[in-house]
Amino acid sequence: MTATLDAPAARRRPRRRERQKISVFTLVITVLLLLPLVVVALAAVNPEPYLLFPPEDFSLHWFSAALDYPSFRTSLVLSLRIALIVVVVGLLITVPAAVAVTRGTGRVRRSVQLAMATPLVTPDILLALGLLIMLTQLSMSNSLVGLVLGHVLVGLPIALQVLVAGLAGIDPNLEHAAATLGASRIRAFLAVTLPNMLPAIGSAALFLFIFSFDNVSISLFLSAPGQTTLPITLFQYLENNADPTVAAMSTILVIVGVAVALLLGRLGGLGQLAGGGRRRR
Amino acid sequence: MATTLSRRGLLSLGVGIGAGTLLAACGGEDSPEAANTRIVARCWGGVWETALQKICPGFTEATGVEVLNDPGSDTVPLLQQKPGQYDLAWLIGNEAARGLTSDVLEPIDTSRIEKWDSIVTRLSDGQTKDGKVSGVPISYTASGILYKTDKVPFKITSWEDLWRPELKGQVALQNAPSIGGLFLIFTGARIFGSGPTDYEAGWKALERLKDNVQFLFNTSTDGVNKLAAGSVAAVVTIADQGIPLKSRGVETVVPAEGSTWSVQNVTIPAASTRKDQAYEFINYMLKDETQVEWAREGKAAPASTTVTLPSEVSANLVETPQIAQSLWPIDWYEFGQNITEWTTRWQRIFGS
Amino acid sequence: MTVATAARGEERARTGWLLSAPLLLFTAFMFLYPAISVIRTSVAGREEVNAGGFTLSHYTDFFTDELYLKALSNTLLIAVLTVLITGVLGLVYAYQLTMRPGLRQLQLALLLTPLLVNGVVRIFGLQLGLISVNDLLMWANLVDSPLGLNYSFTGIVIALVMFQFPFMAMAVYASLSRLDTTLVEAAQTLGAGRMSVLARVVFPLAVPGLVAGGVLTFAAAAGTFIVPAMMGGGRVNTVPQMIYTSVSQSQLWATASAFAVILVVVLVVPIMVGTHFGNRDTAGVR
Repeated sequence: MTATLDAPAARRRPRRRERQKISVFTLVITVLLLLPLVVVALAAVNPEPYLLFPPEDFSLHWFSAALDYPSFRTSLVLSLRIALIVVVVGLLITVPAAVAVTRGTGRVRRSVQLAMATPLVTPDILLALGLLIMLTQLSMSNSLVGLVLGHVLVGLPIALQVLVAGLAGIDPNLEHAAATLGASRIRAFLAVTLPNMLPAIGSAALFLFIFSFDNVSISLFLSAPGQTTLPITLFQYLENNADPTVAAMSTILVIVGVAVALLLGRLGGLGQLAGGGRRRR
Repeated sequence: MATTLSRRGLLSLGVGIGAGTLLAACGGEDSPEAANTRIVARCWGGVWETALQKICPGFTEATGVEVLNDPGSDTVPLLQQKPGQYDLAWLIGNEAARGLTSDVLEPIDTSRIEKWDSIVTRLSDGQTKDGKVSGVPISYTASGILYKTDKVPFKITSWEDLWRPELKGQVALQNAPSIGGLFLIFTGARIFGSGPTDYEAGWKALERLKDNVQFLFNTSTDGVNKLAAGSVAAVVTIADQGIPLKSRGVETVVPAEGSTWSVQNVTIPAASTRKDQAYEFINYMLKDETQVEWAREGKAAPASTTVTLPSEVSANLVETPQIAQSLWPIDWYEFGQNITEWTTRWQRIFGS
Repeated sequence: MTVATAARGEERARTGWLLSAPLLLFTAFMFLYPAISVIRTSVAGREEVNAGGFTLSHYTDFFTDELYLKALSNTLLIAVLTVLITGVLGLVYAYQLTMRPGLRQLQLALLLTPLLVNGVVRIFGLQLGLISVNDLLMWANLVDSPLGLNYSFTGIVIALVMFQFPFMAMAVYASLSRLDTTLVEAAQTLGAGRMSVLARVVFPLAVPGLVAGGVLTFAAAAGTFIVPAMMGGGRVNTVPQMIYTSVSQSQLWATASAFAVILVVVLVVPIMVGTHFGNRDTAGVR
């Protein structure tokens, strides 16, 4: 187990060829999951003012309509900003808690898991209502703070699950070893465990981001006038217009999202996603 | 001891960073200022918001009052839980009626509405109960049957045609509690019952219609999109939605015996602190020029009878003066009171 | 020795509480108040939020009406089926990706891509896709009449499996990161059957991920409003739909709250059982 500490590069080389093996099953699943998005993207290029698949003609009209629609732009910026804050706040809360769950006593673990299970299963609309009542009483219902806190609340369970799963793969004895060698517990944690946790932290951050970026119910009740997030704007547009502008906007988001994901992959982030990539031999 | 301290230090640092980020990112964006030069309006998104963005600058120019449009749904529960946030709210008929009965809305003082008498009487009557008015109708849309001529082996002219066996599994309706589907209780009562309020006959008719219904849609544009895709032959929805689909062989019918309709009202929340400005806004919305612009952008028929629409605007609307005459009266108060019970009954029929 | 262990255990507990304090305090602050207000409203005499009075009628209404009981059983059945299907698919996916990690980065990126798109838009895409599938099958004379893929129980499960799969797959994949692929290959070369390797080596490692993903999937599948509403075409009633309609059009806050309390209580039981088994396994490792 301790072997993880030395650079695995030397060992990796001879296995290179085998690492190239591609599983047909995963590819098929990936393609299946992407099909609805392909349909959306193709429906977006049809010039008619309704969704049509397969498209009968080609036009980028709806893409320019999406980019020209002022509400999409302002709400996109707002959604991105909120999601980023949610990531920071969410990680500050969940990373220590994940350490507590994996390293702490059973009672800590049980309390944290109970604390997480209940918001997870409470229907969003009532969670949102409860928060709204509370924030109104604290006269915070008109600020972004309420919205951010609400998004953090819905993102917490999954972020914690991902972190705990990632941490479970890290040997606590490493930290103990470092501590025995004279490093303080906190330094041992920062130097040994935290770097190993980075992939899990990365994917927890990603999930926090996505949960905030895609949330409808909480935003519906907690956003103040003039602070409409993108999902609400898209949903409202879809409710009142049959044309493919929303499909075009979604396609733009997908393209940008994939580009960012691949870029992160280039920078070494994504391959280690879901934790433990470092330990793979 | 030292480790505990530094751990605590780390913790407080973390909390500090978190709070700092929050404040930095959220600061300065708090509630709209109390000045009387700005009103906050709850509206619908999409076409409606676009239309308002075109119309509101003119209002600001004329009155000096800015309008902040906040698009979203579930407005009545929000008005109930966030009193004072909105100065006016766009609501459909039953929502406005319900808002008034639950004291969320202010009764409209019709003497302050300059063109109250020029509003199509079916619309203004629908919002009035015991002399109290819940909202001011700005525009309306008639319900109709949209159908694909290549999939329906006959010409649809009447609501009764929906029940014909040839349409088995081919009809889409709006799901309850949205009003588009529940309307068929009225339709069934008139066609198969003893009169407009013979709702039991309406329900019996709905039970018989079940075989013809392929699906119920929750997003109001879902019906037309499935019609365009060709997976359903006939859809009951806002008739104006059918016009762009004409090139795909979709015929739009508002039956001559009359039809149900939906109305776009401006209402004033009871907790609003800028009611004078809200009245000014309503009066502005009823001006002839505004009504034309609203009809053009929102694709809904003007509520005011003094308006003559230019042909390029009326081409996108099915609501001719004849259709305005044939609209069935709807008591939105009664509808609002029944909607809970009706929705449950609807779910019993169509759901499993 | 025992004294030292006890002291260490105590310190561990203290550190544990300290580290989990932000999360526990946050949840207490953000969840308890809403929860209490929902519970209070659920027994309120009138339909307003935090209205006075006391009645259990909203609860008795639920349990004496076949409509709601059927909705509850639909909700649970949908959730269980979704968890089972995503669980099996997620396990195979994660195992395959671990053993054959070619194009891993791209596949993981693509796995998460759908999450960027609003659920309603994805449902539209899925429905149009399923319509085309039916058209294709009819054209190829493989079926006589359209399969009930849209607007049915099947449709709801298809959509939920597609929506929840990324979460399940990621969770299981994270758990399998401890899998030593050379060990699996060695076992297979030594003649161990594929199935026995899967059952004895892979599966035990995957359990924490399966449980984590299962809990998320279960809660999401049982708590979603929009998927059953759109994919079910109004044909399948579920509890979240009942809750949503009672609030959005009728402001029946007490009814909605009571339904929510029932749903949460019903869901928490299997989730606690699930995490209990998950804990037993994670606690054992190391």
